[in-house]
Amino acid sequence: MVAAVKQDTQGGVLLVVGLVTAHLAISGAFQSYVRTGLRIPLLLAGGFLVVVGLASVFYRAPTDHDAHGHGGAAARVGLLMLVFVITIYLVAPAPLGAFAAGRGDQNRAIAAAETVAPPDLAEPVDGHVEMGLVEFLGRAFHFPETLKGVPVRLIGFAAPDPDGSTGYRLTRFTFACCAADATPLQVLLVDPPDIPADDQWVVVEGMFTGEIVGDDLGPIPVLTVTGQEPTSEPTVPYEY
Amino acid sequence: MVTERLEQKRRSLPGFEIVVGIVVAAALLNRVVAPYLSGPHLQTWATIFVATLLQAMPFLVLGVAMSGAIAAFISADRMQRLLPRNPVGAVATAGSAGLLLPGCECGSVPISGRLIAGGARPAAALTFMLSAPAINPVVLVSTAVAFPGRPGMVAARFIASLVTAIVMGLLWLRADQQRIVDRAMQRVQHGASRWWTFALTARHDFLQAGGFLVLGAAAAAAIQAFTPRGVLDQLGGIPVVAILGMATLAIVLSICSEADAFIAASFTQVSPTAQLTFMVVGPTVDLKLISMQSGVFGGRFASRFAPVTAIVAIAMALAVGWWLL
Repeated sequence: MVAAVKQDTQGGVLLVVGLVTAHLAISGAFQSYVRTGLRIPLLLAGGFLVVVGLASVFYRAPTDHDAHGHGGAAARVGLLMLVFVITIYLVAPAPLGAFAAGRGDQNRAIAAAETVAPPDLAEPVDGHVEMGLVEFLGRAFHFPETLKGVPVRLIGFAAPDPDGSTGYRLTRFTFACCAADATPLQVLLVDPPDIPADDQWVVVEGMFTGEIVGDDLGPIPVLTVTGQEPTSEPTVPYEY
Repeated sequence: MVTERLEQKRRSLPGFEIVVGIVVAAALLNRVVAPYLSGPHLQTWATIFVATLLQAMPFLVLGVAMSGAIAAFISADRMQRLLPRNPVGAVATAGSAGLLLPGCECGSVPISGRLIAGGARPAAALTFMLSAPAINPVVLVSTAVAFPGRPGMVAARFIASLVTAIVMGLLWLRADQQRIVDRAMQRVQHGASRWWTFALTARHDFLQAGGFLVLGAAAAAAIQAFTPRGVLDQLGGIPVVAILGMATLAIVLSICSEADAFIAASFTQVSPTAQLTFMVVGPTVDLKLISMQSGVFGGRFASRFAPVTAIVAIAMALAVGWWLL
């Protein structure tokens, strides 16, 4: 068949997809898209594709059937796998940020969950208890008394507050499997010294006011800010 | 045969070099082009698109490795002995066998194509394709985690999904089996040795399933990135149409079956039956699955199979939800 894609081209696609998958796993960049725990499965998958790809490129597979072209038709669709590779290198997609957070749905899962009582607060560091947004939000929605009078230190990136307050929303995404099922975690910061640019990562110190704004589809606890410091994006930008 | 060999040797199109060239060019052009590709919609689309593919990659590779192994190492005799002769028994056995494959839906589509080529009854292989991603242990555990203190939800999901898969298999017992078998046989790759058959089959299925997965993932990511989330939520927020809305959401979002329980649980404004509908429909019909099924079984097949599956899945979710939830 004329349109058949040749064996070494097919092998080339597998080789390239395998190498890119393994590269993302080794460099850690995969954590912008999926969970840290997927590193080994990604390496194994990439390795398998590299082996099958190399075999196809460097040894012509002895076959009695390949000539009738069905394999070639499948391989034509398979060239679309290159869109995956090209997207990674050309668009270089960043972890989900302030724009995606603006789609709403913030904190809904945590506010809706029936949670058990949280463990005791961690020991304060420099007078502030450090915690993730998952822990902070769980306490704020279900056990607000455990945050009363407790100065906390949180990390996240800046996203605008569309409700027009004078502050901004400290944000981090959470997901179960990958960024395709991500929802934002958000805390409204009031009276910050200044409003950082969207997507700028910050460490914030402050105290829960006890107030929760927003509606049932996206409740947001309010934090008064006492300290604010820009920081760099963490290796794992999401909180699980 | 000889002329074909010669033709292959002539290398009219240096395919491998082009593939490598495209990738190298993309990597080099990154710095030049990236600033023009930094729009927030495009960035969000790309992040979700890449995330969906990376999440699917290990399961897809596991799936095509298994389909290669089925083609290379399981003879047709052996395959037929694995399943009961009685067609209904074969469908029921295949449905329950879904418990054994711990993966998402992406891997099970190529596997079921190879089961058919290997001699399994098409209806039984289709039942396996629908049940494996919905009732395997990983999915059931993640459902239990997403709905703490509500074991009824896990039971309801298990029963509704298994029954959906078996009903679809029974319906397709009456369909034109020969057409499906012919299509599956066309895809057979014969290598000179078992290991070459394994490699050729795995390569073929990876390219075919992966290519259609790219199409489906691109569409689902576009819906997520370009539709305001509020619009999707309102679909699920109207009580009368909540069930249909959640089913539609499951189809367009194309979330992996291991993650969908967490999304379903976050829709607290709809009834538990609507949440169940989301989890029963998602692993059996969604954009990426429709795309992949049309690749493996043909567009004609997918255009009938997907809507019927959606209707059966919704009906089963309603019945089991009414009974258990």
